[in-house]
Parts: sequence; structure tokens; C-alpha cells
Amino acid sequence: MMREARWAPRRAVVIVKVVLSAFLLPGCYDIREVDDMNLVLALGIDETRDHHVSVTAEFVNPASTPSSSDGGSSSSGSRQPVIVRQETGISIEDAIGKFEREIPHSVYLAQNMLVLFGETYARNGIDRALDYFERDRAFRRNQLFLVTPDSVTDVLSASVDPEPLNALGIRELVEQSSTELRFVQSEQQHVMEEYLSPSQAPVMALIGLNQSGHPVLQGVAIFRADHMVDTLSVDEMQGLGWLLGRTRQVALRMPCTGAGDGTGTTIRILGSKTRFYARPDRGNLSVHLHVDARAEIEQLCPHEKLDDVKLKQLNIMASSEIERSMRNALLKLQEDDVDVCQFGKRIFLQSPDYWRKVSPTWLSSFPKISVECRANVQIVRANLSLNTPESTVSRSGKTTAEVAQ
Amino acid sequence: MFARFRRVKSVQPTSSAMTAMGWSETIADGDVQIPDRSDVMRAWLDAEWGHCSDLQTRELEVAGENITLVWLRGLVDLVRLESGILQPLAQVSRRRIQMNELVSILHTVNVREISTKSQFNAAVADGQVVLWMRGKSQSLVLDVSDAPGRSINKAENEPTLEGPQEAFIEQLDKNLALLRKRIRSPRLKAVSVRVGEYSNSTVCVVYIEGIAKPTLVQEAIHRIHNISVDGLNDINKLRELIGDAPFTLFPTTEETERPDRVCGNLLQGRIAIMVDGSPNCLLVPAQFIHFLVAVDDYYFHYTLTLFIRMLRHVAYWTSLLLPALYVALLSYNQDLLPTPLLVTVAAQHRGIPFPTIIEALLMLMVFEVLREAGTRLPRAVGQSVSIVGTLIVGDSAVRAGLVSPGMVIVIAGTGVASFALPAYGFVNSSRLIQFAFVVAAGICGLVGILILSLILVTHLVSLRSFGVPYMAPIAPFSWSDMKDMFIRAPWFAMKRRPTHLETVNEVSNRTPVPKQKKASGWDLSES
Repeated sequence: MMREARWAPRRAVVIVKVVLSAFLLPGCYDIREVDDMNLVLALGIDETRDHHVSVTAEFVNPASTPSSSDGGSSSSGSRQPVIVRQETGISIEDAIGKFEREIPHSVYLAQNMLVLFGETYARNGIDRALDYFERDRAFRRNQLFLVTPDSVTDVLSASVDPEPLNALGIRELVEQSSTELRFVQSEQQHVMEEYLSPSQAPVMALIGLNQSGHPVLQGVAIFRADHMVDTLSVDEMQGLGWLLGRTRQVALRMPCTGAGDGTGTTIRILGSKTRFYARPDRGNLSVHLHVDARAEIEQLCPHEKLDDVKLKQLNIMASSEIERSMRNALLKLQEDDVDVCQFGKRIFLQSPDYWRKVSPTWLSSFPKISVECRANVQIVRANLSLNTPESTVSRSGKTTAEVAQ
Repeated sequence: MFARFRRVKSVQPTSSAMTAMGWSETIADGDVQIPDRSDVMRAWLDAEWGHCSDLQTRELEVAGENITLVWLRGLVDLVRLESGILQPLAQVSRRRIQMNELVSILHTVNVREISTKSQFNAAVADGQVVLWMRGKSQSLVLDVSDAPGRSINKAENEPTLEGPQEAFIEQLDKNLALLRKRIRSPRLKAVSVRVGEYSNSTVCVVYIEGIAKPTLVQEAIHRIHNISVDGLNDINKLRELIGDAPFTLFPTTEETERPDRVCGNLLQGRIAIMVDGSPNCLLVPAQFIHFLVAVDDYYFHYTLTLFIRMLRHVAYWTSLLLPALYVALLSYNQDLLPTPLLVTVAAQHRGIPFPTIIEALLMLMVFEVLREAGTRLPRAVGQSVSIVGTLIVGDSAVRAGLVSPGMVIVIAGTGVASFALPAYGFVNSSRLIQFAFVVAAGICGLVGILILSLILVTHLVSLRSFGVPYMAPIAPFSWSDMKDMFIRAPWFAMKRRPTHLETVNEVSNRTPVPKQKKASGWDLSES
């Protein structure tokens, strides 16, 4: 009994100590109110002429965001919802440190959504940037890595109406395109996966300004390790999509065989699957790619009727278009000596022993690989109408344009 | 003279006695007999009931016998007193009438004999008429009481859309009758105990013999016997006097004003404790899960109940954690918010002079003051207080830049979530605990919330209510009791009573599962 009586206050002291230390050890020292921080939505990284790093940051301007208590009136006036500031330093962290010294409120990087590399910086190698972004715990791994051929500051300052915040708008643009070709969404974790894969060829979305000064997706930038090598246009991106086997809802436009108004036939590939076969053939590697795709007709050439013959013809034309697109993209990649189509990674997954043999000379042997591309498109539906309106109403066989004349 | 004052042995209710009696009474220790001499009786009455202007005595000469009637004005039905007692007594002609003969002459429904002074006092205080006869050591208690009280009304604090609408009132006998009306069995037992030196209130332990665990009943009666207070006028005082863990914020007894709810719980194996003068009833043992169960759950179809009960669980944790999570996310863990939301919140918070933690505590305090004001004031005024409060807090304060709109939404959401909880006592505990969570979030962010949650869970699992773990059937876990936990299984699936109550008879339902049968033998041609 006495022992219990002595033990009770001792236990209470221990409990109080544990509870107090549980609360005091983490401490409130890192408290940072939301209105005491500069929210960074995008970072632009480029190289100056004296080989320093210029960092452009896009900060949220709380006074002018549409949700501020002032209402949306101020945002439509002279004040912009974002503030773009630029600093130069010998490294990224040095330049970001200057923001802390020159702008009131601390820089908050955890909500950064975009990292926009200038083309010059990307061509000279982004390894220092990758090291910084991988090491710093503040950044989310789903931030987009992008490349721009234009000025980084101009892109981050450009209007992306109706989205008031530039970074959100650019991210939306990229995400919209990624519904067709998933590799366009070059998030940090995906870029790093590709960079560290046997192929060592990451891809980043290429954002530029159009003639009216609005950001648009211009294609993708392809990297050999950390150096940007070349760019692929939007059309060439499709070919890369077939090579990688990651496509959804891609539209194929094909010219009309006979009379037409120039718009051609449009086939939408609902989904595709690419099979990869690699086989060593007398010292050289032979690769066979086979694309199976399902499609629907979006638009027929004027005056065309859809029958068995036409359907087979469209299937063949779509297959040929895909094969042509794949060969063009592959040709460019082999010329650039960049394994963006991830052949190395796929060979490693199929045969790790063989990969170990060829990996030391992979960069030199990749351009010599003979690749056979085959596609098989099956049109599964013609959508709501079977034939074109012209072919349905015209008995003479003339097109509407000819009838009008 | 003192030799006549014989000590009466006290009677303690035992399990066997409880089984035998539907209604039992106990006699306090050290009681003495009623005097049988007129002068002594008069002196004792003057001493005991002196300065009680409402005490009425009527001395009668009935067939040569001196009879005194004693009652309290206002507690007795004078019409019944006249017709049931005075008129029959006036018609008695036979001399030397005995007490047992009087019992058959008097026209009152309930007549019983008493022999001690305390029983005499209790009977008078209860509003009954005591008939004392000179030379007799026993007196008769004639029940013609008509204590002032309201009639049975609709349940206001626990309203339901469907099901019975009656609620308890302040009279124990009528409350018991409401239970008897629903459970028409002699197995429904009611053991009464007098509590309070001055109030002498009747506390009644109600249970169903053959279902409730006998030791649970004994424990409840034992705890009530241990009470030694001046007065007991409401169930809330009793709750604190007999409850477990007196310093916890969580209620360990459940309170209800609905007889149908009490009956349902009695049939589950719980026991009810009622106090004369209180329109509420205590249900024990009470577990955490009971406070998130509404009566409607059992009156609606089980498919509807499934969603509503899940919603109520979410509402409880929302009422507890939402302000704290908001503080933590805005002060420490901004990286966990989606970017567009953070941009919105940052824009809303611009120019607010207080840190988020102070803003939250201020708003919670204002909300609590408004809620308290709305409760205390009459209903018509209370509505205007809530309107003024809404205008001040929701609009003016935001316009003045004192609080952010997001904080107003969070506090309002917390309040609305707490209103979704059926048990008011449970809501009150969450009102206090949410302050602790807000402070913890202000000190350590999400880590603080986590630490306090761990302490809270540890505390919850260490609680017991009348020996039953408070978190049962979650901890200790019982799969069979999950049928009436987060969901309410259909009645045909709930075959057994809760295992944690350790009932005598486990099976409560033997109905086979209903099956859809095809119609056969219908001859439609005749129609």
C-alpha cells in the first residue's frame, strides 16, 4: 500500500514529463503563418552570358488573386495575380537565397508546380538542378519539369486566360496534352526515373510562346542523360507515343484518296498497345515493334461511303500512318543518338544479362539497330452516322462544292 | 418511556428480495417507532413538523376511537380525501374498531401499514395521508396523493420523425408506468432506494430480470446506497455521484428522456436509473458508441441508417478536429494543402492581424458564447441572438478584417457538425476537447494533433462504465457486436445481445430471415 502511495506521485511526474516533452520538443519554432510567406508557384532556370544561373520565381500576389477579400476587382485592374522576380547567382540555391534577402516574407517552395528550364541551360546540362531538386525536401516530386526555347521570364509572365495564375494555366496545358500522350507530363519523379533508367533519356514538355504571346505546347525536349539534345514537334511526338506504347485518344489525319475539300479523314485511336520484341542477329540487335490499336471514325472525306472495302482501306491507311509516324520519329532519335524510346530499358527488363553486354556501347550501337515497325488498327465504330451527309443526299456522285459551282 | 422506542432492523435489498418484489423500499438505520399516546404523538408532530404551515392534521372521533389524519396541503387530492377517507370514517358505527378493519372500510386504492417515524415522515412528505390511531403502534398510509406536475408531453430534446413521441416527466411513478406500458412482464424490476437526508428522493433502479447481469444491478444499487447528500433533485447530480472516472470529460452514463429508448436498452441488458423529480433517466453501462446512436436509427430502414450513422461518426471527428486541422495546416503544414486551395486561403488571410491559432480560439470562444446565450435565453430571443451573432461574426468581422472567411466557415462547420450528434453531454465534451486540440495544433501542428490523439485514445481505452470497457466493442474487439456499431444491421440479422454487457440470456431474436416468395395459385381470370 505504502509502495503504491509513493509510486503514484512518481508516475504522475513521469506522465507530466512525457506529455510536456512530447509537446515542447517538436516546438513551435517553425511556425510560419500563411500570410507571412511568398508562395512560389513556378521557378524558371536559365543561364546568363557569364555562365551564372538566373532564377525566375513566380510568386502569388495575395492582394490580387480572385479569392482575396478585396474581391476580383483588383485582379482585373493593373495589379497582376502573380509577381515575377528574377535573381542571378552562381547556383540555384544562391539565387533563391537572394530572394530571401530582397523580398519581404520568406520564400515558400513546397507548393512549386513548375520548373521551367531555359533551352541554353538545358543544353548545357541540368544535372546541378536535378541534384538540387532531388535533395531539397521542400519540393514536391510531382512538379513539372519543362523546357522553353523562349525567355523564361516571358513565359512565366505571359497571360494564360482564363486561368488567372500563370503556373496553374501552363500545368493545365501540359496535363491536357498528356491525356493523349502520357509521357508529355514530365513530372520530376518521371523525369528522374527515365534519367536513372538504362536508357538515360528523359523527356520534358516544350513550352513556348505563340505569336500572340500566350504559352503553348510546342512538343517535347529530348535529353541524353542531363543534356538536351533536340526537340520533337507535336506531330513527331505522336510517333514517339507509338514507340513508347502510351497513347490514348490520339487523332490521325489522312488525306482523301479521291475528291476532297482538303480536311481529309480523321481517325481517333481510342487506345493502343505496343509490343516490343528484341533479338540479337549476327552481332546486331534487331527490334520488332507491333502496335495494336482500336479506333473510331471522327470524320470521313466528303462524299465517301463507308462499306467493307472502305473500312478495310481505312484500317490499312491508319496502320500505315502509324508505321510512318513511328519510323520518322525513330529516324530522328537515331540521328540524335538518344534512346528516348526506352529500348535500352526494355532490353534490360527482357534480358538483363544481354543488356550488361551491350550497355557499355549502347550509345554507339543504338543508331545501328534495325527496327521493324508494324501497326494493326481496327476501326470498331463509325460513331453516330455511317456515311457522310454528302454521300447520303447526292445521287449524282458529285461533291457539294461541285454542286454549288 | 424510552423503552418503548424499539429499534427497527434495517432492510437492505438483496438479490433475492429484489427478485421477489416489484417495488421495494428500504428503511434507514436507527429508526424508532411511532408513539401510540396522543400527547406524545402531538408533541412529536409539533417538534418534527413545527413551522410547517402546509401540514394539515385532522383529529376525529370515530366510534369512540381517537384518529388523527396528517397530510401536506397541496400534495393531496382533497376530493379523494373527502370521499375515500372522511366519508367512510364518518359512517363507522361499530365500537373498538381495529386497524385491519379500517383498511377494508376506507375507499382508497393503496393502503399500507407503517410503524416507524421515518416511514411516517416519508409518507407525509410523499403527499400521502397518514392515519394514526391512539393506542396503536402501526399507522395507515392512504395514497390519495396528487402532487403537482405536468402531463406527459412530446420529447423535446430527443425528437424523432418516426416512432413513439412520449417523454418522461418529473413524476417517477408515471415514468415507471411508461416503461410498464411497453414491457408488460413481471420480469421488469424496479428497485427503489431513498437518497438525500432532506430531499428523501426516490431513486429507482430498473432492469429486466433474466437479461441484465445480476452483478451489474447489485453494483448500481451499491453505488446508490453509498450516496450521502442533503438533497437529490435531478439525475445530473446522481450521475456525478455514481459515475466512473469522475475527472474525465467523457460521459460514462447515458441520459435520455424517451421511455422507448430506455425499453430498448433494458432489453439489450442495460439498466436504467430514475430519480423522482427528474424528467430524464440514466442508462448504464454507457459506451462511447452509445453516444453516436440516435433513436431514429432504429425507426428508419437499416439502409438509411447505414449512411446516417457513418455521417454521424464523421461529424463527431469533424467537430473535434476540424479547427485544429485548419490551424495546423495554415501555421505549419501548408505543403499538405492543394495549391489552388492554399492560394485561396492565403488571399483570404491577408491583412488579418492575428495568428491563425489566436483567430481560431477567438472564434471558438465567440461561438461558444453565442451558443450559451442562445440556450439560456427564451426561444424567441435566442433566435435573434443567433441572427445577430451570425451577422456580427459572419459578415461584419470578416468585413472589418478581424477574421478570415475561411475561419468562419471552419467554425461554422464545426458547430453544425456538433449539432448532428444526438447526445448533448457528448457534444459538451467535444466542445472542450476541441480547444485542447486547437492549442496542440498551434504549438506543434499536425504532430501536436497526433500526440493529443494518442493521449485521447489511451484515455478512452482506459475508461470503464460500471465495469464495462468504454470503447467496447472496438476495444476489446467483438465482431458480433459490430452489427450495431458503425452500421445498423437489419433486425433479422441482430440475433444476440451485446456480448460486452454479459447478459444472462444472450439471444434476443429468433425470427427467421424473411424470404421473398413467389405468388402461387392466383387466378386472375375470375376478376
